[in-house]
Amino acid sequence: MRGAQATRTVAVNSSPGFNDGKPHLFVFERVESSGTVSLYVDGSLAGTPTGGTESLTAPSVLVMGAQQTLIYFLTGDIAEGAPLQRGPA
Amino acid sequence: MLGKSIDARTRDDALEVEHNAICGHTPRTGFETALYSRSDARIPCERYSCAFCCLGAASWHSRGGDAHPVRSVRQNRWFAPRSRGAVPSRPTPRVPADTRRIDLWFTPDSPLAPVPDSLGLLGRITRRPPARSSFSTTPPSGDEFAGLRAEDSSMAVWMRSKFTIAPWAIWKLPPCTTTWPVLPLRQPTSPRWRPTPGVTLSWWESPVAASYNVSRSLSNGGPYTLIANVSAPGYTDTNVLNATTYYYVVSSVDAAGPGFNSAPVAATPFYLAAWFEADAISGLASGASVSNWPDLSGRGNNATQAIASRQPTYVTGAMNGLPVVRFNAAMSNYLSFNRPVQDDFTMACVFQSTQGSNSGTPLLPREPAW
Repeated sequence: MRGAQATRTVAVNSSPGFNDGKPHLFVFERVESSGTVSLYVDGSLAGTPTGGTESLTAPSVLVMGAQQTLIYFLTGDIAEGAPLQRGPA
Repeated sequence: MLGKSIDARTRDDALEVEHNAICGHTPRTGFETALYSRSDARIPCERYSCAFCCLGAASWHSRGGDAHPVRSVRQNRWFAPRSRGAVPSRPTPRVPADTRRIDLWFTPDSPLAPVPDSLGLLGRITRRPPARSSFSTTPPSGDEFAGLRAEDSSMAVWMRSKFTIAPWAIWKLPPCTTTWPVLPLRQPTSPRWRPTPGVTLSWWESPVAASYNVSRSLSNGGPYTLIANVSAPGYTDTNVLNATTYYYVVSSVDAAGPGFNSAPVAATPFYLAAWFEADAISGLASGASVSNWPDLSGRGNNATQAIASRQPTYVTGAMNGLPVVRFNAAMSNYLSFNRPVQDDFTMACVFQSTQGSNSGTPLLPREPAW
C-alpha cells in the first residue's frame, strides 16, 4: 500500500502482505500545516513522512483503480471509498 | 528537596491549596508537604479530597476561583499539581506520553520526623484503564517522583511506619482532555466504514467527579457555552458545522459544584467530500459493468467511466457477503471523479486484492493523464 502527495513529492509505503485476498482498510491523511502525510493500514500506522506545506489543489480529477496518472492499475475489489475534507474546501 | 517549597510559593501561577472549613479535619502538626508539577500548563480542576475525612467531601480547595469558604492553615500547605493533557495523534488512539511530573518535598522546618516512627511515604497512582502503580520515597533524598502519566486519575500518599501504613492524603488529578478526529477506524471484518459526523471528546476519569461539564466556543479562550453535562468521560458533539473550528473545555463537577475548566482543545470536523459504497449501487446484476458509482455524500462527485472496455464490474457477495466493484489491471479498469478535497484531507478505502507489488501495468494503451 502506498500513498503520496505532490508538489514536493513524498511517498509512504506499507509493509508487504496485504495482497492476501482479505479485506483491508487503508487511510491516507495529509495535514497541510505540517506537511505530514500518514498512511494507516488496518488501523496501524505505516509511516508519517513530511512533505511540503503548500496548498494542494491539483489535479482536478482523481481516479479509483489506478494511480492518478493512469499507471499501476489495480487488480482487486473496492467495497467502499471516502475522501474527507478537513477545513474549507 | 529541602527548602524548595519557598520557591514554589513565589510562583505567580502556583495554586495554593488550603484546608477547607467544611472539612474540619485538623492537619497533623509539624508536617508540611508541598506538591507541585513542573509542567507549564495550568491545572484544570483544583478540588481535592482529604483521606482523613470522607472521600469526595471536597475538603481541599484552591484559593482563587473557588467560591467555597477556605480557612488558612499554617501547616499542611499543599501546592496543586499542574498538568498538561496529552493529545493523541490521529487517527488511531495511542497511549499518551508521559506528560506530567510531580515532585514531593518537605520543608526543613517541618520534616517528617515529628510523626512517630515514620519511615517515609508511599504513593499510589490510579491509572486508567484500572491499574495501579506505587512508589515510595523517604525524604529528603527520595523526594521526587516523575512517573505520573497522562492517564493517571488519582494519586494517594500514605505514611509508612514500623507498624502500619496509614493514608495521608489523596488527590484526584485533573482530567486529561483529548480530542479525537472523526475517523472511526475499524478492522474490516465488515467492509462498512461509517464516518461519524461531529466531534468526539474523551478525557480521563476523575475519581471523585460526579459528572463533567462540556463547554464550547468558536473562539480560543472563550467565552465558553455549556453544551452538555455527562456522567462519564467522553462526549460527542453532533451539533457542529462542517469545516468549522470549535474550542472545547471540560470541567469536573462534584457536590460542591464545577471545578476549573481544562485547557481548551480545538477540533474541526471533517465532512464527507465523497462517499462510494458498493452496496449502494442499484440496478446492476452481478458481473455487470459499472459506468457510474454514485456519490452518497450528496455532493455529486460520482465516479464514472465512459469507455465500456475500461469499466470495472459489479460483483455481489464478494467481501463478507457484500458487493464490491472489481477492477482488472489487464483491462485498465478505472473510475474517475472530480477531486472533492484539497489541502487537509483524508482518504479511506476498503479493498481486497491478491495483486503483487509494482504490478498493474495495463496491456491497453494508456490515455493521457490529467
